[in-house]
Amino acid sequence: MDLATDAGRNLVGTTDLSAAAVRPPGSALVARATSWPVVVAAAATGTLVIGLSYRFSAAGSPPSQYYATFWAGVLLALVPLTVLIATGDRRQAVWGVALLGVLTYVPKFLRNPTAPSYHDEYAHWREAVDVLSSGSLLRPNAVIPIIQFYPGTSGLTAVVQRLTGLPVWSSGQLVVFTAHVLALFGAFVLVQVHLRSPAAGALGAVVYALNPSRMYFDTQYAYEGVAVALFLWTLALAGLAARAHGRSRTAATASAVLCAAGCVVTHHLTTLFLLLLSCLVAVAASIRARTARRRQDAGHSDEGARTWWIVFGSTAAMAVAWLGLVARPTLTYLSPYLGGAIGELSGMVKRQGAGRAVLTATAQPLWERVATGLAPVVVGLCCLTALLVLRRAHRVWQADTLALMAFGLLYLPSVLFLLAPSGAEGARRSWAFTYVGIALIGAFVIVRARGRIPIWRSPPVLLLLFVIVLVGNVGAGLNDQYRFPKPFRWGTDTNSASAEARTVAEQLAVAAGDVRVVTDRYTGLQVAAYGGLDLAAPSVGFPAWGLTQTLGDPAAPLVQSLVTSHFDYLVVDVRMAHEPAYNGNNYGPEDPLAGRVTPMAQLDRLDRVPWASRIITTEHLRVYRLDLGRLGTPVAPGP
Amino acid sequence: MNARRTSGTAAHRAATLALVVAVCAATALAAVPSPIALRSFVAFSLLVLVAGYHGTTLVLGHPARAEVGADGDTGVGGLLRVVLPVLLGMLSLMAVASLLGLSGIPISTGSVAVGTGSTALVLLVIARWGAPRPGAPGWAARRAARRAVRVAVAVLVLSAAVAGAVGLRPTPVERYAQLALDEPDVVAGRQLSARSGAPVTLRWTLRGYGSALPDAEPAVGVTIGGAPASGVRADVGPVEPGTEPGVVAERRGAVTFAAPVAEGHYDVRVTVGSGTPLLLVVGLRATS
Repeated sequence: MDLATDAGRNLVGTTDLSAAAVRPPGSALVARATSWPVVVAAAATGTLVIGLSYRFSAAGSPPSQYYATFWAGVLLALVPLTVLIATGDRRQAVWGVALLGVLTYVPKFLRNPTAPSYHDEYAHWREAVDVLSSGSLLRPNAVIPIIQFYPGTSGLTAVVQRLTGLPVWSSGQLVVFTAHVLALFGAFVLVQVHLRSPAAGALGAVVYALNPSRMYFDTQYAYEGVAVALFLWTLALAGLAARAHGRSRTAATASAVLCAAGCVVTHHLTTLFLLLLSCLVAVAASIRARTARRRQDAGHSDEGARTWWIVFGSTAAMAVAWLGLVARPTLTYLSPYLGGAIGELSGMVKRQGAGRAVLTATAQPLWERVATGLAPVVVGLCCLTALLVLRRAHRVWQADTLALMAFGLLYLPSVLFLLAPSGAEGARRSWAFTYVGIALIGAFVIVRARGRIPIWRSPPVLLLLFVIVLVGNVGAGLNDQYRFPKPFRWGTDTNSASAEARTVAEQLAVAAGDVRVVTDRYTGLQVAAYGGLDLAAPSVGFPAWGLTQTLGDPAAPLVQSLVTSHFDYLVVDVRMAHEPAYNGNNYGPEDPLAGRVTPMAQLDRLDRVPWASRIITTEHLRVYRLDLGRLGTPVAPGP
Repeated sequence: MNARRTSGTAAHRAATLALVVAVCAATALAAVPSPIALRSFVAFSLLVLVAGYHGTTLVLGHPARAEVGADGDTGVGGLLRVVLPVLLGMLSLMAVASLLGLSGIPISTGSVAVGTGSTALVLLVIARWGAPRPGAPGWAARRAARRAVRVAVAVLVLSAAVAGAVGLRPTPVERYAQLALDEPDVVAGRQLSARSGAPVTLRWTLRGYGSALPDAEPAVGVTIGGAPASGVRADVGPVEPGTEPGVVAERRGAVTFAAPVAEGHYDVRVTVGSGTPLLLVVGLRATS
């Protein structure tokens, strides 16, 4: 039997709320306002307004101006489209989700359309450049060493570049854009399969598009963007396989395993979440099927548990093989994040007031911060509604659907991790996964449970909640410096980049070759990406900051480390003496001058020591050749 | 009935052959130097979509069979037929990259084109093997054409909007000069040394980014241990167009001075430029 007809029967054979049922009163007016030409015109105008907001922010306008302009553009583009998806027919919903994919990609694309700007983008762009120049995968990476072992994104970019002849950055954008749109369709198929309703599928895609990582973090040129799409498709196809039979089940299972294989070679954390989730679903399906058999309940005797175990087992086998044969350092890389976050959270419970200040000292306007606080509340209310409805009706739904929804509930406690410095990063990265469950819950509540709880029946209320969650979640994602192009600001990953640093890095690579460099964390991005040079990773055990952040000569152990590791060059940006770093430090959390400027005298001193020669210079950057063997050599006065 | 089946089989074979020829042509187009637009819109799109479409056929079954007596594109099957070709096309590219990389074959234009073309051909042949399809009715083709026009218009409008939005952003031009020492030995870490009183020459290059360098010769100064050097002679070349990306103009030069008479380690400072000159600092060991 064909999978298409098989799946079609599943859908057609059950009660489905048609799209027309979601249509609000006054539908003729709504239909006119959400006709395809109007939606496309609104999307185009909204895109231009978003561009205008970036013009304001780049010119240094007040935050209230560019935030208001940005949201005017986004809402102009997205509100008519979302209404079309919610009220249109099935075909309009499909095209609408495609357009939603384009429009949720646009803000990040316009942020830096021609070159990397985010921290991880520098690393991935350099990795792709190195793959292309060397012709082989698994190239060492100075910015994020672990991406060497996950060549999915760089390999895909290299293949696209070779086939099209486009620049490396544009090839990467094509890859990320495709993955971004595919991810929304993955959510569409997943929700449609589980809730047995195309209308729910389309709304599920909309809810998933609201996740805080979607508009910026997962749309940057990095491995998450590609891997999350494969994660969603693995789950969608596995869910489909669990409901199919015979050849269709085999074909869908094989496709799910193929997507999982792509995920394994692309991103460690996504693979970990895929393993956790598929295991949870497989266990839930097995328990439900066993209980049903015991009760002789034919309706739940086949919960597709075998399919889920195959997907979990195959993914686990591939992941273990990949870890064992290629990516051994992954465990060392991931462990500090988890351990650190849990430790910090438990510490904060003991000491009230410690930890990370959330939503303070930020350029975000108050109304966006309020929405950021309200968004988890709205999601929580939605989850509560779903729980109330499912309490009585959970037997109607398959175990995998309920397990995915239960997994989505983890989003709510994860919001707490924003309070822990290490956990904020982990929480942010988990939302792309937990929102799969939220998408299911959201679509379930809007399409399946709206009849029972009045609040979910009112279109204006739904639209208001949509706007709150959209604005709030984007606000909870990345900070102002990441979201908006701004004038130069020292100490940010994004707005500290300068052509001056880029060309100095390129010139150093030409003059000195493939050398190792000590520099601050912001200049380091340019040095590694554009110069292709290896960077020192300062830490307590290797306090490379000792070259600029102290007034005296570097200590003997540091000198020995630098000499034996061949860190022979130092790049200094004197703007670190003009203002303190926006991110709080220049050499990582252990920087002895964290929160303060580096005194200019400490930088000028490098011109008077016998162990450093200034070989390249601009107004703001200085490159020194180190010869620490001359440490202690007396410098003679002038002749 | 038999005649219809024979005609359908012949058409199917002809279509398969045409697709094979198209894939081979696209592979050749991607492998040889050709315009980016041709490679992106024709070769790349064709290779990815042929691989993805036939991969989808292998997963979902033949559309011809699925359409018989069913509410064809109303369920998830219809959606999958639209989206899976893109997903499987992307996965086929990832598979090509992984297989080339892990088998030690260099990822070059030729190997990627051949790898992608071969993948598309293999999927095409397996998916179309013995599976004749009835032709699409004329009304369906017309409807599809109308839909394609609508989508093309939407794509054009949105592309224009994105281009306009990109154009709204001011492109900041950083104007600055960069001074670099042109002494490979010193850059590589070798100690600069000279006999007492002997002439020492240091070469340098001044590059202008974002704007041209001034036509007037820059002032060149040398101090040794903070005191003016003796016997200073500056040779400053003309301003020439930049030879590297982003460099508007560059000027090469050299400065010669006498090494100190007394032995010792000195710091030598070379300044180039007027107003706020740029500075290079080099250690010099004077020997007897």
